[in-house]
Amino acid sequence: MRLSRFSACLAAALVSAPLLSCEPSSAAGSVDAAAVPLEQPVELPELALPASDGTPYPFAERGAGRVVLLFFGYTYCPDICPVHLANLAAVLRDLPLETTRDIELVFVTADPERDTPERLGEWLGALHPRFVGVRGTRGEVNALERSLGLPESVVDPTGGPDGSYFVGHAGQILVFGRDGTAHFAYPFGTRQRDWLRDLPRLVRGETPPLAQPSAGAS
Amino acid sequence: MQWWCAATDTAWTWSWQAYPGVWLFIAALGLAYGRLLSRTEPGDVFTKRQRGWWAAAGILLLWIALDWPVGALGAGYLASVHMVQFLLIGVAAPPLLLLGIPRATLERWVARPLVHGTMRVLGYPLLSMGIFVLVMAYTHWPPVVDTLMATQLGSFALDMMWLVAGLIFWWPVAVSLPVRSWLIEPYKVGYLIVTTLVNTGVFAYLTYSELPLYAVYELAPPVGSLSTRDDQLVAGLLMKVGGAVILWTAISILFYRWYKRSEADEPPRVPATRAASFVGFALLAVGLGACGEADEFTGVRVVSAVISEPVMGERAALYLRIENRGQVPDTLDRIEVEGAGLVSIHSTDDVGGMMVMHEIGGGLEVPARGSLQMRPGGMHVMLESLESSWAPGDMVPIVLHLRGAGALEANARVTALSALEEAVGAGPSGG
Repeated sequence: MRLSRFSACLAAALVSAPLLSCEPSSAAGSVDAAAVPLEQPVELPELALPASDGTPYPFAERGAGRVVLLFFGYTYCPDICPVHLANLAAVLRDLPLETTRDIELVFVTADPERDTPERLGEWLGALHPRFVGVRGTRGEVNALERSLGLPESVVDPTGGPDGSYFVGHAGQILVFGRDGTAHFAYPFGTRQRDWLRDLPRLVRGETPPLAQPSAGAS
Repeated sequence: MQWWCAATDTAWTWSWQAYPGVWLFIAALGLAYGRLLSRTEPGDVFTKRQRGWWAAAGILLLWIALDWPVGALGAGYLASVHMVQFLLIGVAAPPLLLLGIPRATLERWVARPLVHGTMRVLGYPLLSMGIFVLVMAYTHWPPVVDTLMATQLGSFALDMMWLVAGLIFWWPVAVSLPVRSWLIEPYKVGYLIVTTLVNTGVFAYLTYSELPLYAVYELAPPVGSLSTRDDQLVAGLLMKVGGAVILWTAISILFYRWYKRSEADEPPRVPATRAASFVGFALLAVGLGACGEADEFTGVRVVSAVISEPVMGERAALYLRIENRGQVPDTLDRIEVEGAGLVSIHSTDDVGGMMVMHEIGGGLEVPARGSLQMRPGGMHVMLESLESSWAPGDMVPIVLHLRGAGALEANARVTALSALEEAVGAGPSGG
């Protein structure tokens, strides 16, 4: 029967399938390491931008002695932002308070035109009550991204007919240690099990397992 | 062009997508069944129309599972929908697809030597269940899911693995073929009950996992407000509840058929009153691997045994239906009937318009892959010198001595003359 030969080929292909997945081609899916080293370590910026509650948010001052996770994104983001943040939020809810109280997540909107303070606060609050939203003008945000060695976020000009549009932005979450310096970032693709393994180490000041730097760009 | 649903990193929208590969597959399946069902197959337990409905239902379930939106959501967005796909492709559709194949077609396939061996082996419940469980475990293993769902070919392969494993799993239950005459309803029921337990294992794996198991769903663009973990929990519950609903539906149907069968005067099979104990036995037999039970059924069996209510308390007739599902003919040499002093096999022949009855000596052949049917006005077993007076409803132990199969014990039911024709002719073909 032709079918049996076909199924034999199929079976052979299938058995080999998971073996292929073990290649370290994608750092995002790697079991051992999620954090990607930065080419150049960066410092928490010595500036303040308005938070979603209207108060100024001085990055370096608020981050002193804590682990700061910094992410650029926008609330209309359909895929990367909500998923990346939701996975982080889920693990933060799992971890004990003595670990999480020293972790601060700061979300800088890359879409200040549409992300009003209210919308930003509401959207982040739904993900995790302790996530902090920060706004600036497009120029301020781009300057901040440049200073952190990240690509500048850009509005995708090919918007939808209803006036909607996408914003291109860096996909990784920068991690600043207690000393205010970031040595690595977590690209999109970081899984909950990675956060669960790495966050307590970060709080203790340890270096998590690091992946190949080449996979860091997003 | 997307031919088959696979994981993508684009955000989910409810705008319809075309998957021509799915249509081709469904169309090919529909055409294949159309061809199968276009031939007239006399002597089937189901009508062609019924077969057609079975097949159509199976194909429809496959189509729902594979095409937009279920296929797309399951392939790249929600583990819970992926589980719905599994239940449809691997559990619900296969028995329908098998029931849609005409019996004569199946028998023709099985008659081919190579296929015959394969089907016989696959009909072995422990093996078919083992294959199904292995495929189920393999296709729910996170590295496999994450790898396969990433490509259209991989996603297609996963769907086909489910379908083939499902067909193998349901083969011993949905198809009744002579090669497995011993696999009667209580065994099938036991087989399915054991499967519900296995099912619970995957359920536990999914629901008690602390973290999301599958990167493809953990990192997928969100659909609605369902969190990754809740999605996985729902998937586990669906596995448990949905799987149980399908399996217990099948178990109920089997129970009903079993009951109907024993109602229809087929005492040598399993009396309905012993149903519960048999299920327990079947559980043990299948679960603990007591497959040696297969040898108890030698290929020749008594399908029905009916004794006519004795007239004047002197003599009665026994009507047997004996089925030989083996590959060689057997010979019925002698029959013992408890309480009958004289037992002889008679035939009634029409000689020039006059019915002449004469005794058959030297044994009666039961043809290979055939049956021997006795009926009023034809061949029968004459019982004389009766020691006790039988009344309708009595069960009389009988022993058939066959040259090949040896002694076969059975119970014959005493039936009122008025109900005799019906009782003798009521034996279903065993499908």
